[in-house]
Amino acid sequence: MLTYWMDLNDPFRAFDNVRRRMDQVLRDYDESAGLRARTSYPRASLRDAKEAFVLTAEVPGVAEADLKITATHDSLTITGERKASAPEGYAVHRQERGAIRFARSFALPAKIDVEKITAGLKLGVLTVTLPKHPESQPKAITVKAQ
Amino acid sequence: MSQVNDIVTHKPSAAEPTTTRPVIAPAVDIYENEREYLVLADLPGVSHDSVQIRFEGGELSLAASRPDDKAGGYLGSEIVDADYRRLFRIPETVDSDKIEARLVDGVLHLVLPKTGKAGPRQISVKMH
Repeated sequence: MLTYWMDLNDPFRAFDNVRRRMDQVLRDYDESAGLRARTSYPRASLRDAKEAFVLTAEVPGVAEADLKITATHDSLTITGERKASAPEGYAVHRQERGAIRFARSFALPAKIDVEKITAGLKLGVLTVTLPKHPESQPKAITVKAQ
Repeated sequence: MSQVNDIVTHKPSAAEPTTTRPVIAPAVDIYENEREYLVLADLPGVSHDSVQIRFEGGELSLAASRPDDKAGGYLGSEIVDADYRRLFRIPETVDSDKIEARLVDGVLHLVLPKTGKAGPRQISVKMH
């Protein structure tokens, strides 16, 4: 049965392999040229939403309880773990999404209010809202005519 | 050889895409036991109503799209608004009427039950 499935999958596997190799080559090139830092896990985005910074990270299959967030006034660290998803009694044909243990830190461009951080997990995407410290809030300055 | 021919003559079942969003092949796990195949696919940020699973002519296609992120002010982003797409060939032993899918924490769980009659069987060799 195992070989049966594999045979049917073979042409796709060949394309997959080519794609992976190409990705690797391009990544290596980017890194050697210093164009892009190595992509770490989880993939994330940081957004400046005026009153707060919003960090989103893709953590599919990671349970709430396995995520830990720590913050200082200018940095944020996400640590977590995705447990092996291989169910019992199943033979493995292909495993691209392995178990992973990760830790990633982000330096924030301005001081944040650590007490007011909120985090939510939805559809495998972690969203952390980091309100800016009053000191870092933008202030309007009126210009006086002299 | 038959596989090669099949690829060449294969007509794309999906229409020409109307957007220029990047397409990502999601990472998948494929498992099998004596009753079913189990496919797990990482689809972070996708809601269940934007997942399309089609089973046609022995092929299972999986398509999903992330909603456009209209928020601005990005300081750095590794996440792109993209479509997920992946195609699998499924053995004939799968009972296509009973395929079930569920989305849990951004992971798609696809259960493909096997038809009873094509279960594993032992063929004994007779001696003359």
